Amino acid sequence: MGLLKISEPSNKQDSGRKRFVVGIDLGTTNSLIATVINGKPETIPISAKKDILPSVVHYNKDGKVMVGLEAYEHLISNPANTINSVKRCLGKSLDDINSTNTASRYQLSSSVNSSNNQHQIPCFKTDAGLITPVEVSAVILNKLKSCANHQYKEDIEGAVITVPAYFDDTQRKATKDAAAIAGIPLLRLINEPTAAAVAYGYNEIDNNNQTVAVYDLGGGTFDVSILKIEDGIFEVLATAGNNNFGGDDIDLLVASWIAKTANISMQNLNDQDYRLLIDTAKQAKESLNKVNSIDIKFKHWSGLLTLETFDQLIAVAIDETIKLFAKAITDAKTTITDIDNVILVGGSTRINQVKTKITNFCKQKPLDSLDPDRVVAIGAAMHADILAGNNNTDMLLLDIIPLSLGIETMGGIMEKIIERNSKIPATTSQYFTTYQDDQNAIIINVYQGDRELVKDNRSLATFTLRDIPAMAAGRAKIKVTFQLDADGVLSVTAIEESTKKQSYIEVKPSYGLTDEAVLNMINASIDYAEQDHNQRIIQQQIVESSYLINSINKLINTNKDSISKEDNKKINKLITDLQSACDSNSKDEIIRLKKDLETIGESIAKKQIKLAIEGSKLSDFEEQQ
Amino acid sequence: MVDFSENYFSIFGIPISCEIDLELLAKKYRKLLMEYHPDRQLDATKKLEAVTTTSLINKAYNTLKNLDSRACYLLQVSGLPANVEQASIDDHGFLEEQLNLRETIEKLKQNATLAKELPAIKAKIYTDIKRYYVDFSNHFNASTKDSIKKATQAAYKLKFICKLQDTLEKTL
Repeated sequence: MGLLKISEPSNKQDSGRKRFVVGIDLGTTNSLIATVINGKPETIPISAKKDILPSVVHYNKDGKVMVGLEAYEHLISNPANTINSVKRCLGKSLDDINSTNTASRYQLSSSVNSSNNQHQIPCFKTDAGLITPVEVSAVILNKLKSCANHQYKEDIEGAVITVPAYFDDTQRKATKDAAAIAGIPLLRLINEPTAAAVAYGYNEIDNNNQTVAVYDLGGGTFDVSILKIEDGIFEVLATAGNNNFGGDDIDLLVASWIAKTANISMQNLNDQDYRLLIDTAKQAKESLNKVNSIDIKFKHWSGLLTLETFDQLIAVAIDETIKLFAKAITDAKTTITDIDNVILVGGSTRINQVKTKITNFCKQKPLDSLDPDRVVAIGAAMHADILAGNNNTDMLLLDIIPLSLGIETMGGIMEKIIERNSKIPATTSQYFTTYQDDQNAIIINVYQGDRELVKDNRSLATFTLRDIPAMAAGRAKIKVTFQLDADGVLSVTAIEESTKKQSYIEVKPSYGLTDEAVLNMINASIDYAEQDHNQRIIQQQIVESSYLINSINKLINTNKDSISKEDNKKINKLITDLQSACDSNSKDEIIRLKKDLETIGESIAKKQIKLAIEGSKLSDFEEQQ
Repeated sequence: MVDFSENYFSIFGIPISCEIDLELLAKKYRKLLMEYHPDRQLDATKKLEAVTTTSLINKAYNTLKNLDSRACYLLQVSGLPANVEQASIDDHGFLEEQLNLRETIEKLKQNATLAKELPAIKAKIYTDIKRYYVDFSNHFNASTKDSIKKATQAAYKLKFICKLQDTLEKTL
């Protein structure tokens, strides 16, 4: 008897119509979509021959958006307008992204229309305007969706999307937002390792009491999870990992080696050459899974990379992953000898050294009969099938929260409210009170992480409790309930106990989009193409206008006494008109007024230069007249 | 129908007691989840309700599974006038021992060569936890005013040392 009890075919699954549901692996490097057909999970083709979509999106000036292989070709020729590895930017701040070693060369800026001044959402600066990571992810999801629709001539009724186990609340929320923008009804977010275990649980692992380790080395992230499978329940006991290490980093290690050996400075390479170097490194890495040495050509340089040298290059990084493996085992309160099976996920697990080190560490050969690039999508599709009620299998995935959740207390200390590795859904309550008479609002800062001080952890959101009934200081007893749902996404409710009055809560995500912003994006994506493009142009024009107004104001301020009253009046009028044109989003008006303002600004600047050379000021002339 | 309002023990259909068959508890826990977990509901309103129910099941399971939280919960559920949070320890020997252990762990963090001492420390903490729990059970079951005071102190010690165990695991 297998681990999953497959019910008799006479049950409800045959009587009712099956819902068309899919599993999506939204990966750093590649994305896949799969579904269960006649009880068998299959990946859905993206093109004639391929079922893997490179997670790359290209934006061009005409507002055309390309995804996948088509976009990938632009990585070398036009890296600034081509976004790859967007998953690394999802739910992060500008500083977070800049501080990690990504092999990407697009330009980032913070969003100008963000309502949150404290932390702004990073945007990609493309010829099509400013684009958030969530929108880029939505484009990828949208492509996968249309492939599924095309293949089965049916709309997706539900999807399970996978995320790294190590994803925090903001990153999960960002993934959910992307699904909403792409118009995909989300059944559940599940952890990638859990999905992989489901795929193997169905096919390979044939026991009801199993401890399984999933080692997942993806394009941009590494994580390892320890799961217990019993009575059909897949329980994640512990998870550890590094959100900023993956196959991309191995490429970078090889690229640095090439640059060093060829005596080239990586910093000085132009965008095209840089991308070419990364691609060359990636190909070399993949070849070394099969051969012992590989000839590398980069520009005018050529050389030999041996497996031995490659192994030395990556040894430290791989040892780090083994250390995290050991940490996960300790966290799970288990030992290496208790691990019944080890599952490999992610293309980078094809590297010989990775396999060898895992085998040595676990004292057993890891399972690799399922394709490590497809196993997550397959498992997600199987789980979607069960969640939709298409399949009566008694199976349940039980997840845990990867990092502790806490609130800021006096002196910036982190007070944990839900401990790391707690099972979800989880709920916890805390009492708060007022410290001033008639105080009507309380601010709660929520963080995620396991360090003592909040500044070392990740800021998730600021919750402002409003409508607190007027009472003397310290009398209000506000019960704040923090709830993590089955997807690991946080929600907060608050009630004043003595009056039973519910507080209104305002949420300001630190690095994510507000619900309102997401709603706007969803609305925008409904009539995509033309209007979206138009919107981007307007957005771009508004940004440029605000820069222009800023610099003109500076110009006026520094040259107060040398600008004629007439010009001054003209400029002020133009600025006011331009501002109101921006507010009302009237594209043509903005463009016209901006041009006028630019012209007058230029002429003033020119006049100033001319006058400076001649050593006299315009005001001198005016007095003479 | 499971009664979720009475106490954590009744959720799993087991009697209030210091001794729990952990395997049985886990089995009952899994059975409850199969029934109440949000993923097992197809109806949207039931799903929402299930989040709260499952949170409670998770909390109850965690509380009973760990010895320190179980001890504190037993005191609470028995309606005894004991407050573990405010219990102070007048056992100076215990405090001194804890401080020494903490210091040793700090040293271990900074000096990798001491790592060989680790298994011994771990084993000591493990047996201590067992010992204090037996201590707690005996006092708790005796149920006199004086013994409850002692049980409260034992529960406090348990919390102390379980936290130490947690720190030790996080360090490594």
